[in-house]
Amino acid sequence: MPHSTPKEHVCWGGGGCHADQHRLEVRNLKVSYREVLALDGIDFATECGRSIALIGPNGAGKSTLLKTLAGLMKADSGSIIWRGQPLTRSSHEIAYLPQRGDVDWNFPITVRGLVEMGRYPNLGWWRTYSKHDAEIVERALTAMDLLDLQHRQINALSGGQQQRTFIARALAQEAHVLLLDEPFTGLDKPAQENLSRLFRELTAEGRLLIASHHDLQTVTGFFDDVLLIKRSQVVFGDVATCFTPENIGKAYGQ
Amino acid sequence: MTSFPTLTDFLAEPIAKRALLACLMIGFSNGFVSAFVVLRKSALKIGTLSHALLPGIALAVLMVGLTAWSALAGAVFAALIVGLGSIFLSRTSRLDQDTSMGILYTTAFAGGYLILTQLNIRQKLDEWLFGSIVGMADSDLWIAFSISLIAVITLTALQRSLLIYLFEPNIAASLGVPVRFLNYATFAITILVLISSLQAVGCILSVGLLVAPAATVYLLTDNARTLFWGGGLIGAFGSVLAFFISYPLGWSVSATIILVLGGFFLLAYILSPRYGLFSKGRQA
Repeated sequence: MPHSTPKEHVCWGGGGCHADQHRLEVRNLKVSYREVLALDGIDFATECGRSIALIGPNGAGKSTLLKTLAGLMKADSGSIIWRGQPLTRSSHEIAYLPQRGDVDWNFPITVRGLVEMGRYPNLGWWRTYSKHDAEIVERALTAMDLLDLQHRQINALSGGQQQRTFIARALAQEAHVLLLDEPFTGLDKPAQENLSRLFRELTAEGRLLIASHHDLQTVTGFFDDVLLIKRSQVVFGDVATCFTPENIGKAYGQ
Repeated sequence: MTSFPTLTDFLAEPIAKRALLACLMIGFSNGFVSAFVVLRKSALKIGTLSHALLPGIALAVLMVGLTAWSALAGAVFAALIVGLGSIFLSRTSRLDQDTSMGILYTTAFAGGYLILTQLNIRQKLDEWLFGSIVGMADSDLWIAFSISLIAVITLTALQRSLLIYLFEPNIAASLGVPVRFLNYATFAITILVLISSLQAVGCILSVGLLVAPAATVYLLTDNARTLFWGGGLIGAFGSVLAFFISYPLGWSVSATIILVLGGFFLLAYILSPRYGLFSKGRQA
């Protein structure tokens, strides 16, 4: 019997074993927003199983970079290569999680309803929701400890629970890469610790997390790698060696 | 319509049957689409659009005479001109789109009003301003029916992608939802439904018909899908109820429809178990 390859799009319990196949390369990326240059010379490579803090002052282009990686904005030049293929449009393997402030929390939807949205890439607009889809949603809810809250309207949740609901949606989407815009913002200390623990679990499963982050104090505890930007790239590498006062000064100084 | 002594006598007349049917269909389709308007938070835009339709209809009547199809074509034309015109104005000047729209639609409305008063259809003017749900011909009913059918079928078919888009456009785009197509499709449906509500309650009151039903359900449910069918049911029930209230009192049907729907909303606002004025644990 031939050696069975793991199912293409599943990171669950991957343990990073096929991380080399799950490589994200960003090459000399240049992005403009409304004819103003927002990002230039972004160039790094990483793979599933890492968590990356995207750091830089306000207006440095953090959100723009996340949106470009998610396929929401077009690059002027450069390329994004995911698993050896240029990424030209949105992919279910890449999930985008907006800032909490960008979300209408009064929208009439429950936790479960929001998580079910993650099945859209599989279902399209007409296919019916199958038992398989329900199982995946169930698993995502369980992983994020949301089963008891699944019928709550999303405004009746704490900040940490809201963030977990969005992560559960990304899991239901079977995403390898999670792009998170300021996930720790507005959470109290215990909720931040809790989310950080979840991040470690997700990367241990073989997922790649890229999160914009503005609290310089917590970078070291929460993330593996750091990408410092100020329109252009200041440095990329693991937190211990690259997140130095000198590099921070380059990003935040004059 | 005052020549029928009792409601039962009146109901035996074809004109009453047509009006009742119109209330049912137009109430339902407008209520159904109001879910989209409420979730999109575009009530004010709808108000603008409904006024913008008047000059288009007036121009069409001026050019080819009054038929249902000329009115429809004129309405679509006017909506596109004001809609696209406001985008163009805001891009080529330092004004924002709301300001541009505010100028364009009032100017267009004033022009349309003057055209209609100059034409020999003075008696029709009131109907465009305040609706004519009682005076509908069979052809009007068929148009209303087709519009309702198209609106309900399209919004039902697109519902899954539409709800993601309405919740968060960025998430929708990242999931591969065809955002641009949805924009155009929903714009087209909004215009179509506006035309039917314009005929029923007129351009001044049409916003109410396209907002109040789903706004009422919004206070009662946490399920966005319920908003569509619930809005439709409330729109239809409210319109039919208004028909029966207005006749014995001699009130205008269109104004009564909006009043009844406003009453429903007020009840939900006060009494909703979860989001009402007196419910515990209410969230702002």
